[in-house]
Amino acid sequence: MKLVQIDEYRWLVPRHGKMRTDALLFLDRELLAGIQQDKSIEQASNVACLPGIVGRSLAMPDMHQGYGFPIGGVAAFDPETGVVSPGGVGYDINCGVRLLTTAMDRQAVAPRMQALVDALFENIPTGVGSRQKDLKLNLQNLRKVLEMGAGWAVKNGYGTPADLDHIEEGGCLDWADPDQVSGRALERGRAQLGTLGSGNHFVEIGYIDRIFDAEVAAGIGLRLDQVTVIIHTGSRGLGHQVCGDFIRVLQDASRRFGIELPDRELCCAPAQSDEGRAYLGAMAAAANFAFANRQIITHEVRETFEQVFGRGWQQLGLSLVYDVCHNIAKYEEHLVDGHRRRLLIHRKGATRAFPAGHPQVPAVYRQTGQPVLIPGDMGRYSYVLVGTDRAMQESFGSTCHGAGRQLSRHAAKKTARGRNILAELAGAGVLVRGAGLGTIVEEIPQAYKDVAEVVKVMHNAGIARKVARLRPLGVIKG
Amino acid sequence: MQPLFRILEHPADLGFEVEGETAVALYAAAANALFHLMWDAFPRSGDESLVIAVQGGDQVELLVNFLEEFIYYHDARKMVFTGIVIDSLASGSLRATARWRIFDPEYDRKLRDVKAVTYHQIAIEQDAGGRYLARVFVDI
Repeated sequence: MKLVQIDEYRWLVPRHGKMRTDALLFLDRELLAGIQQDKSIEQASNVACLPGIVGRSLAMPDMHQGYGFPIGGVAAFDPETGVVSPGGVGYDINCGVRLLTTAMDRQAVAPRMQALVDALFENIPTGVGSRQKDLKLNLQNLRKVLEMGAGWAVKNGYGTPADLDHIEEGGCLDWADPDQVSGRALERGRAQLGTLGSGNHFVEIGYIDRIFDAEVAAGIGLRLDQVTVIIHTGSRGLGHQVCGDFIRVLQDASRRFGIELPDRELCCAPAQSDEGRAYLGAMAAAANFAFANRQIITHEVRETFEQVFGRGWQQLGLSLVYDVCHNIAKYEEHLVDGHRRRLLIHRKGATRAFPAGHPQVPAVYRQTGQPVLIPGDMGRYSYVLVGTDRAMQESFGSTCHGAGRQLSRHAAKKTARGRNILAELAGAGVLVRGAGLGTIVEEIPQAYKDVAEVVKVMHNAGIARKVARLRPLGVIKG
Repeated sequence: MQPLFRILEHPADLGFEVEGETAVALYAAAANALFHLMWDAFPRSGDESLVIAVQGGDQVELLVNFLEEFIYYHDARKMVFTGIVIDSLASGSLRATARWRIFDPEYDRKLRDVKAVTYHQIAIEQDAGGRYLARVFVDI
């Protein structure tokens, strides 16, 4: 496949064959070398074949092989003539991440870190099949969660209204349609609200060890040595079932509408068709479940800090900085060829990154730009960035979402053989509690690319600007 | 009896390959492979029976819909499956009887959280000798 280098961080797959547009990849040479063996470039090119695509098919520097879209894929579609595809969202609808800051410094937390990690592990349901015993949802309440998102959680005592101002879309996609969510999805989700799940989901206590942009950092409320909390999880079994249900529906729809699919997992339907609307309504409902999930886990984190430090969470300064989605499809307005257009944006392992002054950025961040949270692996670091005007011009206001795996789970286990991973991490100053050692081994730092390299590309390409770096102190994993 | 399956490596998730002398044997092998990826649970007396009936537009869709049944029942109802018999397999439909019980932490061990069965590089093929091979990737 022909790849044309535009500059140090941009590579183009020119339109060819059945592609309706080009594919633009944000990568440097090293990251490009890392994906030569997978199909992610082909997948980005396949996305460019879908009807109604506006602008280019895009891929962020953490791109790697996914299902349908590459992970790290972004594409915009005309809402009238374009399609919607579950492959452009992913199975874990609204998997996303949020950042909390505290009023505490690393030195204040260090003596209680083991107690804090142990208490988080006790209080937050984690691991395979994790269920929330304390939150018994009947179907009526579950429907409310799907309608209201994080707002339901706040209304029921899990957080404050101020939290909602610090969540993408205010923590609720208001076009959600719970009627489109199957009974099976409801059944799967009913006992899982307020749970972390497993795999690469985590809660991480950390601290800010480096500031890149002092003015913006101050504007966001970040300072050196400040203790932070990152929560990474999504819509759990409910979202997975919604995706599976609608892959079946949209495979039929693709055939019915005569849409030629380069890849079966790019099944889609016109966004305005009955099937398209049904998927979007269900997807939004699942996204709201995920918003509520992260809000409830935030409450569990706050209660845990109270328990360990013996003071109220407001006194401890546990404030929500921002919550971002990285698997989502939603309607946004963007400038295309000088004209403002409403578009259906798919972000699959990619994060919204709106600049300073954008009306959708919360007022508190209108001067700085929207905070973007990019988690790395559990041994190294994570980053806070802000969105830029250039992102609006080139990537529909989108940036990367994380590090991306570079080792299979089997290869990670092989690499870890004979090693005491928990002891190694503890020796590096990171305490880890996990529901299963197997998952921890599969998630070793070496299994992931260096997120610093991914973030460097986005920063140097002008798509998102580095603000701060965070180091882990304690992690609980599913 | 340990099913015959091979793990396939994937950067983020997990795949497996199974074989069968017949299509019926293939679908049973695929189900058993999924069970062994998800949990360690062995047949015990008193295990219940569940009839699984699914449809699909083609062999591949049928396989995905079949395997997804077990993910749903496990995630929603904490059921673990200890055996499978394919009762009938026709064009577009499959009926099977699965042995199950509720997950018991004293006897059973969860291995991994399988979110879904994907269509990624999925294949059902027959070799020159008529032996069936299936390849499936699951999202973890």
